[in-house]
This record gives sequence, C-alpha cells and structure tokens, in this order.
Amino acid sequence: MGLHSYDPTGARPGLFWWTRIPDESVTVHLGAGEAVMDLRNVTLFDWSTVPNSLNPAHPLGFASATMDLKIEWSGVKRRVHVSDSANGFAGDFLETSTAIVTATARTPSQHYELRTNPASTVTHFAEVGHDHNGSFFPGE
Amino acid sequence: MRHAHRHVMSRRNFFAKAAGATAAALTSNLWMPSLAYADAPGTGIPNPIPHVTPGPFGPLHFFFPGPADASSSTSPNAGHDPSIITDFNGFVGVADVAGTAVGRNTQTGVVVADNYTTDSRFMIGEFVDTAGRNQHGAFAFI
Repeated sequence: MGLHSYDPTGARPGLFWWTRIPDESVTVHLGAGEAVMDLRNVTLFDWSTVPNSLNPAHPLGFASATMDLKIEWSGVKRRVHVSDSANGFAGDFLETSTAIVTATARTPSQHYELRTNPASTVTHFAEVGHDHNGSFFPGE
Repeated sequence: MRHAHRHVMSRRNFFAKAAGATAAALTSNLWMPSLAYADAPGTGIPNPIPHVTPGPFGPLHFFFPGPADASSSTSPNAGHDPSIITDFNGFVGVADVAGTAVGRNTQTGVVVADNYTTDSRFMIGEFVDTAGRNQHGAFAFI
C-alpha cells in the first residue's frame, strides 16, 4: 500500500507542518499533567515520505488527505521550570509517561486509510506545559 | 504522522541520516493553512520561533522533542522550547510516539499490518501575529 506521510503544509520558510485548529479541540488540565487534542477531519496532504515533504520540489508528488487525530496526555513523570534567556522562553513543563494516539488518516485518491492501534502507542517523549516565549518571555 | 509499510523512518531518524546532505533554498510555493478561525483584524498568522534546526533542504524553525531544560551545549536542537510559534503565551503539548496501525485499501478491502511514528504538538493561547496584532488561537504541528 506504499508509503504515506501526512502533514498540513510540507516544508516552507518560517512555520512548517502547522495548521490552525479550533480552540475547543484542545483541553488542558496542567496541574494534573493531562491534556487532550481532538481533531476531526483535518485537511492535510499525503507526501509519501518525510524527505518528499521537506524537498521543495516534492519529486514524489502529493495527494490531498484528511485525518482524525486524538492525543491524550497523562501520567506526570517530571516537572520542570525553565527560564531560558538563550532561547527566549520560560515556563512550567510536565513530562508525561504517555501520550496515547488514536488516529485515522485517509488518502482518497489512493484508496488508502490508516488506523492506529491506541493500545500499541509507545511514548518516546511527551509533555504538556505553560510556555511564554518571544515578546512574552518574562526574562530572568 | 509518518507511516511506512515494512519500514519506519521517524523524523528524527531522517534528519540524522540526512545530516550533511546538500542544502537547497526552500521556496514558498506551498499552501497557507485555513484561516477560518483567525481573529480580525490582523493576519492571524503567527511567527516561527527564531531557533533553526538544520534540515536537508534548508533550516527549519523548531526543536526536536525533548526536555525543556536540555543543555544547549549537548542538545542544541532537541528539547528547549516545545512551541513552534514565537511571541506566544499559552499551553503546549508534545507527543513523540510510535505504534502499530492497520492500513486498508478502501477499494478492495485488503488490510495490512503497519507502523507509524509521529511528532505532534498543540499550542493554544495568545500570540502576536505577523502584523503585530495580539491574537488568540490554537495550532497543531502534525
């Protein structure tokens, strides 16, 4: 069924792989180290591979796609307070033990659908936090 | 979200393997995301964080996932600020995960076992847009 790689924008100067989402799609309970991002029918593209997304020529082409994506963060492992003047950000961050992904991605033109198995999720790194950066960086 | 039948290549692995590859200038021939939720006036479009991580086709404004208190000397491009947008005050979430999946041909009904990896994030809160206007919004990095 080939290679599939989904993101909203491909590579571009400045922001990349981003999209605006409804405010109500995100719920955060920072004190508990819990959050949910629940996106439905997000419009994006299937670039086949990461290199093809990043390559401005997109030699492998691309196809319109949609995705439902739900991620649930929970289980506080570590709390970190950071004030980093070198990188211009500060905040309180809670690393979590899990970020469970439930996703369905569809590439209609290729008659392809991918469904993740949430129970199989392996969390390499996950965190939720309150972040102040740039002009909101409070300084030392 | 990355998915590859029989072979998984995460973004981090790809960048590691692509390090040293010939760089080329990025062009702006792509698409603007929907601004259906943008506040007016202003553009509703945030600016990227200043940090750039080298990419195979040009610099990319983000840090790989990792601890926010990572050392700049030993981990210059991983950890630190999880947000991809600057002039931002709000909540963030980062999920660097992998797992199994099922791929299905919707025409034939054939299914195959697969794998996926993803570095997905959210940012929700106030930000200053490219026109210098204060805005409120939510964004996903997928």
